[in-house]
Amino acid sequence: MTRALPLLVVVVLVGGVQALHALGRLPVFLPAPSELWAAADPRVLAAHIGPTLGRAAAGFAIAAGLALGAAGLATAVAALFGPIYTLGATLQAIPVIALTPLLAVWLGTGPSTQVVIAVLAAQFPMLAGAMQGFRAVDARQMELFHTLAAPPWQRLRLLIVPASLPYVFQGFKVAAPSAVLGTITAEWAGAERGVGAMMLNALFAFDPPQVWLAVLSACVLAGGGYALWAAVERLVVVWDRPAELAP
Amino acid sequence: MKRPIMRRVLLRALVAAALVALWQGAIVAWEIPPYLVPAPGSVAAAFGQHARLLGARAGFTLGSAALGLLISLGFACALSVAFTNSRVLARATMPLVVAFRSAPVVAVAPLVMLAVGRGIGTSIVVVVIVSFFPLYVNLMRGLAAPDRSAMELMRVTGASRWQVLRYVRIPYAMPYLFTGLRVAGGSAILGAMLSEWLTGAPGLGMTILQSGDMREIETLWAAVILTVGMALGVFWATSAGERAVLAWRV
Amino acid sequence: MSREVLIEHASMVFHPRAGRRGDGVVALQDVSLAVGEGRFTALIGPSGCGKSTLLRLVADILQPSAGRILVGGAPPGEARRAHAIGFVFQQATLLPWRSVLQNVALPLDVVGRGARRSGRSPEALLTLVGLEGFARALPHELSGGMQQRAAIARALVLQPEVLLLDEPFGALDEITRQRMNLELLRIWQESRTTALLVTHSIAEAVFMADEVAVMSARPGRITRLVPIGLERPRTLGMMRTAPFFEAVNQVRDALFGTEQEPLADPVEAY
Repeated sequence: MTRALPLLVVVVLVGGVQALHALGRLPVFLPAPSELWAAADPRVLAAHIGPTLGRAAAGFAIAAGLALGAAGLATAVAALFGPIYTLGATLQAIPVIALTPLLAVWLGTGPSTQVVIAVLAAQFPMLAGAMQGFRAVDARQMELFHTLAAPPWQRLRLLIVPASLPYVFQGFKVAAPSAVLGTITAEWAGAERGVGAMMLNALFAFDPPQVWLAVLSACVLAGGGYALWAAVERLVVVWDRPAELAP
Repeated sequence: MKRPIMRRVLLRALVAAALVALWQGAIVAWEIPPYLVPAPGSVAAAFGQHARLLGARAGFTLGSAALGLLISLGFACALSVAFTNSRVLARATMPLVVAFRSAPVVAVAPLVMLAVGRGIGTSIVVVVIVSFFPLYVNLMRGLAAPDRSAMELMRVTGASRWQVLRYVRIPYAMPYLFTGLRVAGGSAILGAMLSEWLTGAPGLGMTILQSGDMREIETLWAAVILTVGMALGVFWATSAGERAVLAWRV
Repeated sequence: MSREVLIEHASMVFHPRAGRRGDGVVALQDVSLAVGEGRFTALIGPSGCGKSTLLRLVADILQPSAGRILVGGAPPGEARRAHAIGFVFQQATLLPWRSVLQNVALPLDVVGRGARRSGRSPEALLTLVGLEGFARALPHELSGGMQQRAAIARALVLQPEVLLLDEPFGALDEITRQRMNLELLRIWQESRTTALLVTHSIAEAVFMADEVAVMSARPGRITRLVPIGLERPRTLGMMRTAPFFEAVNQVRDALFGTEQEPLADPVEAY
């Protein structure tokens, strides 16, 4: 019942907007669902969503590699923990709006600028999650591995990595939408294709259905990134669920 | 109290000077060509040359951010006071508040522009939307902050709801208000500048974008530095306000 | 390697963290204890008497400030690296992402399967602790008692010479605890290890052990050794016999002194 409620709200909203459209009472900037459906050209959508998805995914992957590596280093070398965290937080704090034009000058208006922005937008949640996760092992589990005389490699493989997974996935879930939104913002600063470019073009031409389609694409991409990692997490992290089967 | 402030200002000036020296040094040491990173001197020259333009653009951005922030603050104050007095109302509107929080600027700004059009209106509405949540949450927290004994004292003296609000809740909420302003102020400036990217309104965001496109590197750097300065200025101003209202606490 | 545990004049002082003022806390002072091969000794005492610390010294989790500890004639570190020590914690400390069977097999994964063949397979140990139907279950699907049984099976999988038990059933209810104690005795007798059990239950100490070492707090010392004359195998029926009560009384006297203080307020007795 509670799960059906949001769906019900959406259905009522969409139905209401469509009904207002039928009555001719919709403002010009609010297209009816039927108009959106008619305006949606799969080829055009794919031509814009594809590049954005590719850039965001590339940025996410690079950021994941860097963040996990840096978190591992920070955990292994205690003296680096603070500096690495501060570096990640500082990079996170640099406003995209100031950085994108500079990057465009340095790297050109190709996809590399958008990828770099996506990396910067996605790195910190993953870094913070992994750094927290690598330290999430409790003292008794460490004592257990100590009494077993486990070498460092086994500690990492059998204890630290699995224990960190819930935190790492938490970071991934936040970082995926960030990568998408960062990419689109960077596309605003100059890109031929991509969801951000689609928004700009449609706004310039005052084409409300296309603007809405672009905005919805952005939301679906961002939400999809979250949903993807939430699903992976549910498949992998089976142990953190409440004890429903306990006798 | 005066000397530490002087010292702090001096310290910041020293840090800034050191950064500029590093900047110049790096250009000389690695022979960085001016189209990648311009020298501090030429950026300063660009500041002088385009002072009026930059000033006007910064004024536009700051103005739209401030106006939006003010409207947002009005909403946040009214709603938080109303909701502090009515739990039912607070619970009923929670989904709306959450929707506001999770709506990304990237998705909101184009729709606002469709509705409001080019010009300062879009900037203001976007700023209202992005700054509402931090203000509202912190105000709610602040109004709920008074400790039990203070509230009970008011009840014993027979104070009305409004008197409780005026004498206890609002003074307690002041530090939280400034915390909210600090967070909201940063996102307000960013929101205003991002809106300019969409609408082409003549603010600092537009200047950054245009000078980048036209390869006017010195102007680009001047505008970026001005942006960072504005953000830092908002941060310091709200922090100072926070310290001022917190003074009675310590 | 023989299986006796020898503690000679061990002291343990916890120093305050670097940069903080204050004297160290003396957790253990001049503690000596010998647990013969295949024997079962219980450590009992009020909280803060250092009994868990003593166990951690034997397990080489902590190092003594003074004195000497030998496990099978070797320093504890050597015994630990030879996997001669099995440790059961107060909480089961199972890895939540591994199935029950994988948890029992964890020490084999650490050592490398085949590097040291255990006498009993993890599957056989699961049967020994009565968890044969739960091999594929995850720890959170098990009750507390079942989790602790899995932890005991894990401690036995490398065939340790010495089994160290830190209030293994402290978190369980009385009925489960009673049953687990019987099981533990059965497992101990089958595996022929030397056992050192930390507990704060007098009845449990007497029921389980050949000898009860009574400790006092501040500083932690062993104040008396009480030999327990009950036969093996122990049965629940023994808990109603005179020798059992006598041993319990001896331990209680050692803990609280011979003269029982009268209760200040009779109402508090209830």
